[in-house]
Amino acid sequence: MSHYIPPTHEHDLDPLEGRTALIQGNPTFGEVTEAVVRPIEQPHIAWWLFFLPALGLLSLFGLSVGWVVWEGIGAWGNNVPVGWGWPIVNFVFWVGIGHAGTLISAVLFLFRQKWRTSINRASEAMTIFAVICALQFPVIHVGRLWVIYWALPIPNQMAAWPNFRSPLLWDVFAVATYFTVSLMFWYVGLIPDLATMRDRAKSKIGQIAYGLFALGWRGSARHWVNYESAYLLLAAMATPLVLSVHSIVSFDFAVSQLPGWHTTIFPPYFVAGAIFSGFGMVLTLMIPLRVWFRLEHIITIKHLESMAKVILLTGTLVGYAYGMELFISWYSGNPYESFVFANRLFGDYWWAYWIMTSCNVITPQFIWFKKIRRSPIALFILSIFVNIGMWFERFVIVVSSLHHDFLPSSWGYFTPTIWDVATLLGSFGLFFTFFLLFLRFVPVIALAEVKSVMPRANPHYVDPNRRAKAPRPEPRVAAGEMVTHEESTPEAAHEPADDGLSFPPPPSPEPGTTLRADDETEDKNG
Amino acid sequence: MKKLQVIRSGKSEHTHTHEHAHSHAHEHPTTPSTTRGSSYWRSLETKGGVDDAAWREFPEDADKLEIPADGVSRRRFFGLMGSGAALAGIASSTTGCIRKPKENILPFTERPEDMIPGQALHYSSAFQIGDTVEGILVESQDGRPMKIEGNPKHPGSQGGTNVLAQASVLDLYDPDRSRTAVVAGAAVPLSGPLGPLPPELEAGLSGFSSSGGQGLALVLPLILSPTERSLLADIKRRLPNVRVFLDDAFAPLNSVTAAEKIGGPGARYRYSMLGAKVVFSADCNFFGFEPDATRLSREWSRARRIVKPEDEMSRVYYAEPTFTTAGAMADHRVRLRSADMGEALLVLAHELAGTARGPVDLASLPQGTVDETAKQMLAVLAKDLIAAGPGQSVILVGERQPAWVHELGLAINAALGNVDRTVRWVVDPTAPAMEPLSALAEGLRAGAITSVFAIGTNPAYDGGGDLGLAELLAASGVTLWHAGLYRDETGAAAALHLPLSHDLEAWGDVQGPDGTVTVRQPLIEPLHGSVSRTELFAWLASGQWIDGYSLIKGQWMQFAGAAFTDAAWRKWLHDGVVTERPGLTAPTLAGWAQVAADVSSRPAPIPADAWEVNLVLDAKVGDGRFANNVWLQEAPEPMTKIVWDNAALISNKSAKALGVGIGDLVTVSVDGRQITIPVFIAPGQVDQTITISLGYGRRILPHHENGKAAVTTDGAGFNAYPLRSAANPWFAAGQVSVAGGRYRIVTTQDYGLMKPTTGNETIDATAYGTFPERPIVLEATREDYSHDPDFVDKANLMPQERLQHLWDPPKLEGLHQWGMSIDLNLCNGCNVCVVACQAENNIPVVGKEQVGNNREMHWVRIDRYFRGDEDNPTAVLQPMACQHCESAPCETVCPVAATVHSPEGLNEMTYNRCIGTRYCSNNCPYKVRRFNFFNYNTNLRPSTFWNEDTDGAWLRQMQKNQNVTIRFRGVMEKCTYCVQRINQAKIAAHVRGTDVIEDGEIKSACSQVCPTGAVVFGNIADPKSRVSIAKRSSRDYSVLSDLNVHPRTTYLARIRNVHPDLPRPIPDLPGHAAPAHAPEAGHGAHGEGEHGAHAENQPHPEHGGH
Repeated sequence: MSHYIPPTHEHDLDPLEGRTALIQGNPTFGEVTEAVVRPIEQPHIAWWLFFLPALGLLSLFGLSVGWVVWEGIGAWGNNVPVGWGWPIVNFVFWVGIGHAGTLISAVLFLFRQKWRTSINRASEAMTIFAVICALQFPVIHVGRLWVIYWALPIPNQMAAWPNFRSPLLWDVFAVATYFTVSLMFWYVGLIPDLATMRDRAKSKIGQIAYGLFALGWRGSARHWVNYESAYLLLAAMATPLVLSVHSIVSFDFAVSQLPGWHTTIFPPYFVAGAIFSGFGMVLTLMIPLRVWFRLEHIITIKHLESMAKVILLTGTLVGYAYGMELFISWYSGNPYESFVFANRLFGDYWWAYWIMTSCNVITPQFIWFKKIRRSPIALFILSIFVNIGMWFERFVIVVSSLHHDFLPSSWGYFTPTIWDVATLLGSFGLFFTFFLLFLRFVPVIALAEVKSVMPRANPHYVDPNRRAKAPRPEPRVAAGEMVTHEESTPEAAHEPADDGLSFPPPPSPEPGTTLRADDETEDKNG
Repeated sequence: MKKLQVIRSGKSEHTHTHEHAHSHAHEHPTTPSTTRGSSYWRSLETKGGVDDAAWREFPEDADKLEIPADGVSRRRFFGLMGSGAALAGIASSTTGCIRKPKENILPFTERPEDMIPGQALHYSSAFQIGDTVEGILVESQDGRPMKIEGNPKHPGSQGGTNVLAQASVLDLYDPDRSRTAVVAGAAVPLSGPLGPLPPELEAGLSGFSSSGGQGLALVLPLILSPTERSLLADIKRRLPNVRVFLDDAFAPLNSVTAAEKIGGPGARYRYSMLGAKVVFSADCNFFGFEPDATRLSREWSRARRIVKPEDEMSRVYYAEPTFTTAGAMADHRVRLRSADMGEALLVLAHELAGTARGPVDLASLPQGTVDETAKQMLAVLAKDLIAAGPGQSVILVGERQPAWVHELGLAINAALGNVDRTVRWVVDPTAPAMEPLSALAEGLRAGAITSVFAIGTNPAYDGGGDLGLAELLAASGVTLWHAGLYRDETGAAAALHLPLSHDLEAWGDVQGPDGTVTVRQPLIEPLHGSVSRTELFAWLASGQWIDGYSLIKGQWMQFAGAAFTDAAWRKWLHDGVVTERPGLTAPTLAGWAQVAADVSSRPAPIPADAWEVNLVLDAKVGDGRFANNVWLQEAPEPMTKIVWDNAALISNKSAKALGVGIGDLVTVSVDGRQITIPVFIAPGQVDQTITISLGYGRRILPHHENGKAAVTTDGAGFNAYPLRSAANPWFAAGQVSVAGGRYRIVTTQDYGLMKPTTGNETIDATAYGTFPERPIVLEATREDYSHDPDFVDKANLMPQERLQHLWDPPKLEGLHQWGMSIDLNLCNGCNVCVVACQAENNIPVVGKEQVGNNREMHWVRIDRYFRGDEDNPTAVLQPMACQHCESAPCETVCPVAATVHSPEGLNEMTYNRCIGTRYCSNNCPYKVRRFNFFNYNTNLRPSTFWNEDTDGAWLRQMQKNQNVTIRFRGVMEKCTYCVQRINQAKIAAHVRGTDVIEDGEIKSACSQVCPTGAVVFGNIADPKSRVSIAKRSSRDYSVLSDLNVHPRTTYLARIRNVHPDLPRPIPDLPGHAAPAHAPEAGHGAHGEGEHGAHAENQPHPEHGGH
């Protein structure tokens, strides 16, 4: 079992495409597998250093939710002008974060963005856990959570039916659909890798658990055909959800008539903001992760740079939306509207507005500088600011619009309580508990997919070492065409294909990989 | 003639006597455990069978309930009682009546046909505070008094009540009420309402019998009861040496002194506003706690209710040191120190001297001096008074003013021909002679008084200041006895404390200032075995226990003589007005000569460089006797909106000079006596004056020794009595200095400008003043109104034809279409509707901390907006409750359809369906929805983990209206237009066979109690209904009409009857000013024309977590 030492340079070119290689150091498939599964098979002791605090925060979440359920919503700072406080802020924050995962895995997939393969697994996982966190908040924020199922269209003896005119109900469907599709998409993409894990598992429990979830994947051509179609279909289904979910979340605000909420710009603005915040969170997670798991050659600077560019684009879009809101509030001539925005800038919550603007509009502009967008540390810092800024964006929208609305007599001020803080921190505990469990048990890189974008997966690829011995014949399979081997066997895989006349040898038997070329260094699974 | 007020049944022919009433009322409520245990059962079978008891009138063995003196066994008694209480809800409310007074057993062999289970009954009674007497109708549900309405037949209430009367029902169920006698610190349970008193008291009194009461002092409130006055005379006959002292901050001592000087002993006068075209009030808040304020409010409203621009409307001029609601409603208000009121009247007297001639030569009076603004107003006022004609005006002098100012006011009134028209004189021949508290202090110091019996008074608290009664009463050698509702400051210091009955528990009678007498009926047996004040008087007079019923009825047999018949007695009880009583005679006004002398020898006014310290009765808790009433504590002070506290009100300019802001503690001292109290910046306050309300800083002991008081009034507010002196009880020169430290004052509303600011003084430089005034409260001068009767339409920000609906508006096809109209010309912000709504709709109280977090639960709030100069603004008031929008924003956003529209136009809230998303509240433009953040109804102290006083919560529950759901935590609630009253009326109409509810048949709780009739509720589908007529007025507008929500509650814009010669106090309407109408400088009221940048830059008050 070789231990691959990742290279520190970032200038490997893809020998066939001539561009910077997506996976640096030209590792073999086996080396990629090893690098990705090593944290699972030989877990860091440091994992516990992260997991235990996360578990602690999760307990805090349970405690604070328990207290709120026991005592009432009054345990939080919500009051009458500000009916929605931090719980809804957190909800929108977490839902927004989810968007990056879907965008990366589905939209970029449809657009054939190969670089997505290094980060899609983790960002999809992030999506799912973020949506799980998000889902907590609409549930726990209601006054009587024990009857929250009344918001679902379940035929019942009370003959009561939900109100389909309420954006909250649209939310229920939008977020539930989003969660379901994201989970399925993620899981389908996981199947080949789970099979790899199954095959590598040494413990009985591991074999059974991974085996169960691998759904009997053997890597046959039919499996691959079905898998690829399913994946494509799910990507097609998930793509509109990227736009719809946050649009519908924005309807919670836009459909109401509260000044500051009642604006038509909200759907695109929310979607841009969501992608912005999601990519911010992906960077926050991936930058330490790639160092910790020694995956710098797979999640390369180029990946970070691409994500930074998305952040620059969406951050600028968000900035444009902020400006447009201000312009329209003035241009509309509506005194309530113009007051709300002046109040955002200069009123009781001016600090929140300026935190939001600085973090979301100014921060991304640093990305114009190549040095900054290629510096992991700089990007990590920027991503933290993006996260903060986007949380404050939701705070500004929710709280500063509510606290001063139409009748000055009913104006109030919202002050969070210790339970607001505990619930927010606790939700991070929930998120990180899930995410750390994910890191511990599931390959953090989509192995099957990432191998498909490596040069070695290209039929034109000739191993330079091999070429020295014997010139490689031109393959007869057109580039990009799938080569399938229905009945490949482990034995066949290790016969050197050196006659120079026959087809390339069957691919490695390693399940779950789309080997297109021979690989002498491939080691065998038990 | 109605025999019994069963208002909601709409029937008028009942033959009940009070005896029925009394017997129905006496469901014995003493033990929560039994009522609790019997509240729920699954079926009648499990409860003991239908056949045996349920359909019989009385539970088994009820005949054994004539309890002999030695008593049946306690177990047996409670067993029967529990069974009876359980059956109360099934058979009829009658079976719940277990204990009956012996005098009136009238068993129902059949249920009277109008006795409908669950149908509330009303009994007439009366409420007295100080010199104010209001006839009331008390609503009783299954024997529990739960709501107080004004008695339309009583001249003192005319159907309305004041806020104290409205809230007084809650005191009955106060968990902190004293429940046992306390002798030397140990609780002695009383054996019953007519049981023997603790032997210590008996022994003490028998000691006095021999000495004729030598050394004994009775400390009493103002006594207006004919029976008690007669008993007091008996006491004096039995104990000739007893001395009687008056301890009542509500007693109108100054006006009585003035009246007696002019009209001789017993002379009294009262104001009337009927027919007064011009009113000048010198510090007389006739919407507050001035004598007879409820009647005055109603009379004021008659001259302010206008339909057409041409209608007659009175003009009110007002001078006061602190902004009050009466000042807000006045047409012209001038800031004036209390000490300058007399000066102002002197200025006025000289302005009038040439024309108005009366018994006092006004020209001979000394000259007064006031500032230029006041002088300008007084000159115009004088012209206006003359123009109004003789007897067409009234000068009101506030009770806080010393007697010489009252005399001066009376003289001016006389010169204006107002005597017998707007100033009515009477003689109160039976008024008992009572000595002031200063004499008590002297007597105690000199040792002439060795025993003090405070009955219904609290001299250890309100005898503070230079009297120092608290120390004198606690001194050794003084025996202090106390009888009261609470074990208060005096009760705690007393050797012996006796619980007194609440007015709703006891028979009594009361004579109003105009001579109207009402017999007070009890509605419930005393909850805690207490005695009534009348019974205690009788015992002092005779040494015998005589029950209240015999006392009162016996007394009236005597008073009425041959005219007394059972029929007459029943009619008195039914109507709430005793007719067989000779009217009061008018005095001979022979003392006018005294006026000039008293005016000349008036004290020197407070020097201009000194602080004037004003003390006022608190708008919430009065003089402190209502301090434990949580409804009142949480009803915001009408102008400052402070709850649960008092504060030192000062002007912004003075605060800046002192270097203090809201909540900063200052030390206020008068003659070396000082208190420390937080500052609250009050717009409209005279500079260099400070106003502090009395009644705070109370300490009430809990009813049981080891518990906490359910209502912690401890620590609420600051006791201002130490600043009071016998000579200057209401205002005096003093000093103010910064004390250091802060205190959190909680208000329900920030200052609130309709022309909003972002409220951030440091950053907001440009935004301020660029926002137009919001068309929320519309007002115009009478002149503008007559030029442009449709001025309210100009306030629409969006042309109506451009408004479109997102959804199809609901089809409203019900038989009735409910709507409300609120006349802003009449609403005086008195808070009665707020408390009435609370009583009617089981609205919980949340406490200071929760109000501080904007979680108050009031379904109706009264918005107050200032306008103009921050030091001398004008103000408007606007009651705001659910507007019942036809196209309600709250309804579309509710995911579970918990709030929906009824075919009759009600925006209905289904509590049981609500899951508590609070989206409806967010989307409500009026922010009138209220959320149950905690379980306020079962926990008297919200946000504490354990509820320590379940006993108290059970008592409190007895007040709840059984026709209104008690809301659980986590659900939204709001005004329902009193849907329970609507439904009862609909049932009654259905029974009648018409299904049509007549106009006026139902009134919402707020419209029923409104003393000015500002709130009109009814069927807008009926073009003849009062509400339809009101809504057809050209003044009718809806708030935020450009949102296209079509509220069913609309407002009638306020009209100010401004005198053309005086500066205009209000600007033009938004959108009303023509572009040519250069800046806002034209409206000379604030002369400088500085409406913009900083003139209105109100400081942001401490509110919640700012």
